[in-house]
Amino acid sequence: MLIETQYLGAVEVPQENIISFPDGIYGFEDTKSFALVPRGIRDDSPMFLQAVGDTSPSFVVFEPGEFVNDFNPRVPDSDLRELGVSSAQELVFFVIAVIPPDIRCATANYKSPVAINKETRVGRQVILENKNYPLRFPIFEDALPQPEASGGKDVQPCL
Amino acid sequence: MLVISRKTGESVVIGDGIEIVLLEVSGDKAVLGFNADRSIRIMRKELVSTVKENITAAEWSGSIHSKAVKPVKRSLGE
Repeated sequence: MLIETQYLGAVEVPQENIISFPDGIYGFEDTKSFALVPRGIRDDSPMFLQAVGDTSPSFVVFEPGEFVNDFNPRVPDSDLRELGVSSAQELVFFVIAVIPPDIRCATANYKSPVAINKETRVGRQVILENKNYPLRFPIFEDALPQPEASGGKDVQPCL
Repeated sequence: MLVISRKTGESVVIGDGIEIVLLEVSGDKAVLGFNADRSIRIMRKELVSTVKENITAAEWSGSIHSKAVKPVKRSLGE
């Protein structure tokens, strides 16, 4: 399927990458269909979760294992039911990233990832029950601006 | 903060037209029902922050074209 994207022009996307979101994404409830669009040819490239039928919104998403080694989501029963599965193991997850102009401040939302039923290609943004999973997980911990290192000058802390 | 105790089936009223009913209690979970005009938006609080985060994510998704940095994997804990 040919998808008109926000950043990459028209991109041919396999049908299996078209995900239906009956309830949209929080804040974008009217967008009922998204396409997973690879950003580039490298395997570890992030993907865009791109609205179908409109060029926006387009989210940068990553597989959760890209940044952490122990992602173990506890999905509320009501969300499992909505997605038509009996356990989170049957789902594929993506975290939505916020990539500010200073990329060192980039964060990923581990509190409310997008969950997708692989079989039906139905997706839903879920609020996990894992209490410590943060809404803003700093992707580049080592790269964060350190005000102390420069005597507090010329370094903007992340918002 | 105003604190009011309610039994199952009892309710509180806010302003002129908003009623909150305690429907069920089990363990540390309470099930609430809301009677209000449809124009009043009712959301779980954590959803409000998720909505804001999504809007920011969509606004800035073009920044990914800047240089890529390879992060080190860490632990989320529980």
